[in-house]
Amino acid sequence: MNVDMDQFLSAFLVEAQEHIEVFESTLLAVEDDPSNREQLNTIFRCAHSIKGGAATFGLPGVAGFTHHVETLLDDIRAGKIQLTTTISRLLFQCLDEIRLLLASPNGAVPELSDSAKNLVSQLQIASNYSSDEASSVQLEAASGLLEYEFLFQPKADILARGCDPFLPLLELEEVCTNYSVKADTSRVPSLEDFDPEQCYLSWKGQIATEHSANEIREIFDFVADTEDIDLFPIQQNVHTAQKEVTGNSGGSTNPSFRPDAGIIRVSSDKMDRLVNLIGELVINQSILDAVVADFTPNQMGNLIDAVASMARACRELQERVMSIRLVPLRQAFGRFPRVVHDLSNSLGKQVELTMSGEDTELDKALVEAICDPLTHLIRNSVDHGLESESERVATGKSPVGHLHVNASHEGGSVMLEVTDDGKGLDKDKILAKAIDRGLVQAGTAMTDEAIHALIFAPGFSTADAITDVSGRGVGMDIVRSTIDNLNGNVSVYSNPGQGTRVRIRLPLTMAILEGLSLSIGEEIYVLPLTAIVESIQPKKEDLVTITGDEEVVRVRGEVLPVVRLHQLFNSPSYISDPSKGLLVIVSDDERKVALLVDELIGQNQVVIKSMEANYRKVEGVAGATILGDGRVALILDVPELVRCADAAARAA
Amino acid sequence: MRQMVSFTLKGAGFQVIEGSNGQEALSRIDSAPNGKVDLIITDLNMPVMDGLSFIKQARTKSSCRFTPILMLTTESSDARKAEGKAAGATGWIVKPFQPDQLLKVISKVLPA
Repeated sequence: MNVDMDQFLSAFLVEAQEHIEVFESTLLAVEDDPSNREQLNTIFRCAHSIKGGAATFGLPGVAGFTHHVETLLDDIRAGKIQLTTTISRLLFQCLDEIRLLLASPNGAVPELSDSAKNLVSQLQIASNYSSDEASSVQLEAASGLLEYEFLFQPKADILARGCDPFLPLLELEEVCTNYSVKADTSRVPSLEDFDPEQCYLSWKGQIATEHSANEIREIFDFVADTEDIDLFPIQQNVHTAQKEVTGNSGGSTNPSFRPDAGIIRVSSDKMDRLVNLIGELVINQSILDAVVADFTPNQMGNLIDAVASMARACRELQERVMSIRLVPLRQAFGRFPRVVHDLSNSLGKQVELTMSGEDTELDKALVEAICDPLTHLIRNSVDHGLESESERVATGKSPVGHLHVNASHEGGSVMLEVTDDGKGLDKDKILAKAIDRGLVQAGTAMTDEAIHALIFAPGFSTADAITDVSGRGVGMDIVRSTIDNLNGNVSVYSNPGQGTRVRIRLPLTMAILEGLSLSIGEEIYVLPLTAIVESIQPKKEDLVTITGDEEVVRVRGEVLPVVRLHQLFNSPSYISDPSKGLLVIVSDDERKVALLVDELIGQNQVVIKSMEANYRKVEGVAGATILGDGRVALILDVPELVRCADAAARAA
Repeated sequence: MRQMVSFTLKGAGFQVIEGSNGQEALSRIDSAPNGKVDLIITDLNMPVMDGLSFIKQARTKSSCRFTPILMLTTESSDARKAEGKAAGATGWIVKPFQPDQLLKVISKVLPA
């Protein structure tokens, strides 16, 4: 029986992740209601499934460790041990360790890491197990190929229960790499005493298997009571393949061990619709074939119809395929209760976390990427934003701090908000710090938003004391840059004494862009539609040149810098006089600039191809795409164009 | 639950006879083709005649003396298993379970 387990491993990792999440959320719930047996059972089942799966899929480290967790959980479930805060904290730590083990190659190594060993000893103390028993269990669960001698001596009356003693022996043969067995017929009586309804046989044998003694015992569960089956480990024999794994573990991380390994679960509903659409496409194609086969000019109408319905099916197929990549934000949100729970405990604050919009769907890659920045924002809110209990009471607030995380759709993008009702940002302190750090010139007049935005500057922190939670000043700038990389943006709103709100705007998906194509000379460029404010044909008197050669345009009283794209990209254009061309006004949510273009062509959806992956990073260009006629068009990067305009202005 | 079990079994090629309680099941077994069945699966918690009494009754029938009997239980405690064994159950499945788990347990009690 040599099945390639790798293909199932990644599926198991996804499943294990789900079990961990259920474990975690249920454990949080049990803390409030320790008497709820059903929830304790749920937790136990999660641990059990993780252990079982890990053992099956060649992760003995995970299986061995989880076994200890399971033992403790079983005792809690049986009421032998009370689920105290200490124990639940220990369980949370174990959960983190399991996560770690699943994500690292260590999970495949039988030996436990120091941190895991430490937790195991704590678990053993908690469950009061004698160290003998615990270590023997560890041995079983943790090693590779084990050899056992077994003695199976079923009770004489098992036939009367409908049991077939051969079946477990056959099953045993299947799970063992080495298997030899001999029947002991010494107890079979002479014919006159023989009762055909009694079982007189017993079996003795030797096996070599990767399964633990407990798993072997489980095979005999139905036919034998514990005392009817004896299992002695003969010697520990680590299989050579197992050694290889151990040898590898020192090297770089094995990509296949990343939890979820790029797997997306798709509802069968979505798949069904895809299959339907493919069916439609095939029908469309045969219609087209038929029309083209004997085409006469008077069939033009038919051809147009066929092409139109083909286009409709294609468009729907595109939408459906994109929707496969969309997953609910619940995955990311799921970990926040735990974060808040741990943090508020360690800080001695009471925090109530509410969440809404968990079902908002977002590209899977984005959901994963946004998880860390959001967690960081939440930690910041709990640590810095929300005041201590006494402070809150003193300012007439409820002693329980409130934190709200919300997600919602807004146009083609998703808004994420983290709102707290804490003390808000201290503008004066931020400004003083910024001046101190040389980020801002003393005496500069700044709007509230500009001051708030300073917290995203690298190395910026107003925390007086650095805690282990936050305050090191690394973080907010990483939040900012992560979100920038995702083509999103982030802004802060704050009212002193009332709280802070951080808003993150993300595109729905990174692969397809709603764009406006425009031409400069012979070249075609695409602008992301979300960045465009308006397009104007400027009057000559509105165009002014200031400080030498910097061009600006006046739009309804607002003065905007003009960027000549043909100059920036050093390509010929038909129009060099802005008053004869078009100005497209784009915004990066803070500032606006006017881009000079020859002509607007039209709105279309484009598939983004990375420049970095195929060529190199080009300033002002976010990527490239292939147009309907096969030409390549560059997609403009608006925030960068705004920065270019800024730099040019400063240089001038 | 009964539908799920029945559906799974039919999917695996079994012919299924159903009864909504122990009493009904006993009479259905008698009216089965050849008057016997290859496998009995019973819940423990049922109206009229519960699972354990049903298993005991079934074992007194000559047609069912050696028929494998699986019981469905929500509890995996040793006490519950011992109770089932004493009544004559061949094996058990702890609820909730997946269809393929059911088939696996069946393979443990029914020769292929």
